[in-house]
Amino acid sequence: MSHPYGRPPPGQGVPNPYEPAPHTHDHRRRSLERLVDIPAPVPVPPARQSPPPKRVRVVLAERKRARRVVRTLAEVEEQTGVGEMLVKQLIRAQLVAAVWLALVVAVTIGALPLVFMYVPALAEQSVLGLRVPWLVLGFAVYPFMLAVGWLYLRLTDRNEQNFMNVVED
Amino acid sequence: MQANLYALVAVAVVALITIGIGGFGVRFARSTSDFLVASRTVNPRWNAAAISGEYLSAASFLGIAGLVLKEGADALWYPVGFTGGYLALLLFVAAPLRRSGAYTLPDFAELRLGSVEVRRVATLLVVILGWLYLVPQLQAAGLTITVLTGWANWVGVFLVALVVIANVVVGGMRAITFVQAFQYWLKLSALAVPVFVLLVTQAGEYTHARTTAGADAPPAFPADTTVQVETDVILQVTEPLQLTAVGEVDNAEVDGTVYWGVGNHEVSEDTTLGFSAGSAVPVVAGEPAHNDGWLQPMHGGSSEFPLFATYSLIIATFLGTMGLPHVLVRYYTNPDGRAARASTMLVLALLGVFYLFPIISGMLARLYVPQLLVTGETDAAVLLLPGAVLDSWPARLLGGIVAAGAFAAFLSTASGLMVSVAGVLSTDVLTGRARDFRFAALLAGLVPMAFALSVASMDIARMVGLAFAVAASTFCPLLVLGIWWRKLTDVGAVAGLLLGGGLSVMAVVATAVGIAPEGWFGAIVAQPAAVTVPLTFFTMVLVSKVTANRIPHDVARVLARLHAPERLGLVPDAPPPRPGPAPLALPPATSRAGRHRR
Repeated sequence: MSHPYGRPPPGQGVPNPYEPAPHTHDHRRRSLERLVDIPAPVPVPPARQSPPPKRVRVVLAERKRARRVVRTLAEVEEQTGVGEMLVKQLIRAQLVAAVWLALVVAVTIGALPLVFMYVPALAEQSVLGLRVPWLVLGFAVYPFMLAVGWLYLRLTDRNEQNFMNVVED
Repeated sequence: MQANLYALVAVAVVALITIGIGGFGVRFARSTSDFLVASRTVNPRWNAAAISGEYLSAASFLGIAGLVLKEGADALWYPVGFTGGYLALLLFVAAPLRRSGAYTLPDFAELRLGSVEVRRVATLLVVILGWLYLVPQLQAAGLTITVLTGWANWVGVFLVALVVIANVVVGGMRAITFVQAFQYWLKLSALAVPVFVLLVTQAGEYTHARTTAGADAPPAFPADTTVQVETDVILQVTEPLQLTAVGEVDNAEVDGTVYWGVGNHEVSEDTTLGFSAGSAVPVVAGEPAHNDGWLQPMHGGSSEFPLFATYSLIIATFLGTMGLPHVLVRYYTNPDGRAARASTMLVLALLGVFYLFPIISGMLARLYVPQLLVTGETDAAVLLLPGAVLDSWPARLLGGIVAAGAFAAFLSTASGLMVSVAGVLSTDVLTGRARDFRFAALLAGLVPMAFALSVASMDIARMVGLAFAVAASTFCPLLVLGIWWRKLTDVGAVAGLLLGGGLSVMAVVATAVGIAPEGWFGAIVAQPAAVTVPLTFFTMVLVSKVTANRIPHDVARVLARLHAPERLGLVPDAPPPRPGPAPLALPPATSRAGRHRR
């Protein structure tokens, strides 16, 4: 089975019997080539007045690496058992990281209104001549959010690196 | 108030430079940005400054200081939320959205769900959201011009709307990452320099400041002050007070000295009040009258249900940022998903630094321009502060710098919004010959101008907060579910968008027009996000479950593309080719506009 890197321009001569008809969704079309000309969603909606996207022959930019990972890549793309599982694992890992950090923020920053409401004694304390709520909301929350963002960058980088390691093996 | 020549010159220079770059620099801009993206040298630092530059609007520049002056600690949630929105964007949206290759929200909706109907609804919401966000920008511009020149409010709104429309029509400055990045530093300096000068020159005043601001007393006038009341207002007086008044007070004609006892007093429009130095400042009813209530969060605020109002605001601002049309197009100049994350994190830092200064300005304003509390028009605080503290040329010079910054704030955001709205109008709504981008730009500008002139102006930051609530109730669920949940269907998305969008827009309009009811229902209408956002999520999930047979068949492929790193080769390195000429760095609006202009 071969993976052509491009498709012939449409409407030229006799239709190739081995080329699936456009706009059908049998799984054979989910081959590498479809990945490459991703831009427009496949069925061009009739209501959009723009002309249908022109088909272009697209060549993978970095052939060497593309060939090396081509099988796993094809699996990822074709959503065969292995590929689909890998992508699902990646999405899950990224979502877990995002939700955990979001919970951390929700529990810390989100608790502040309750604290200020029900522990007014704390809100009346002064540090360095400034009231605690002003110090916290006017200053401290910003470096805190930055730290959370930095942690998220580290976590997602690690997740993506794990994913790439598996795919490229 | 006499016209400040420095300020007028500064404003004119900002406007001319902006239009000049738009009009004469288009070719330069295109080739530069194309070149930058093609060679991918737009690093996250420039991108982050550009995102912040476009994002910091009149609400951030003028509105936050005004709210801090009026409401105190409770207002601090606005800058926290305006910044925290980028944290939510970073966690849930930034990289996948960049990897999707979508330029705009309607593009994303269509790409993910493969449905024209979703695209149409998203388009409609982009237009409504853009207009909602534009109205306070234009009103702020009117206010700025009034403060600087004393001209009537409509003159400013009109002039500034024309400047922005002209700017968008001649090509706009949007395309250029550099210009937007420069805008960030301009706005930061325009607020930071006056604050530093005031802090340094007034250092000796602090002991006085601390004792007055800390006392359980109302703020006091630093000098003899005359206040012109433009619209009817109810003032709360907590200490007996002697003043002079010319006009109508408590439904009686007055001309001369007046004694006010403790309680509420009505002042009718076109009344002039004169206060002597040191006397207590009467504050608009509903706002904290004592410095204690001002310093303390959750106490003495204007809301009957402060806890609900605060949480609703937090939800609206944290989740609304990701749904703003003019923010998302900026993500396109990031070379890949990883860089999109890095840019977003830097935006957190840049915004955190910026928001220090409106907060300090608001605190200083409580000491030096408390007369704004009498009329309630506290949005002018930042503009008036230099003139209230300093004399002669330093005051006017700093006033000019602040005015230039305010003008830049509102030009950059308004232009960005107008381009986004005009873009979707010209491609998705107008048909035939009317599909001209210039006509769309005119439409995109004139509608909010009409609203800005006819609706009484609210606090800028509050109005913008309401626009955030609409974004949070519509595009946030669409993006989050679209990116992370396989089972979202087009029917579910449309149902959620229509319900959340419909309810939140109705609430915003009711609040803006001033027909909000009382009690719990009124609190929800005034700050709807805490109800409408969960409702939208719930609707999208429920309807998608019912219509599970409509899950797009290519969902696995699309999600793989959204989440897999670019190195895998699932996504072309460069932005995907699109029909028509699509300069890489330009948002679709401008690029599509180019098709008509050429």
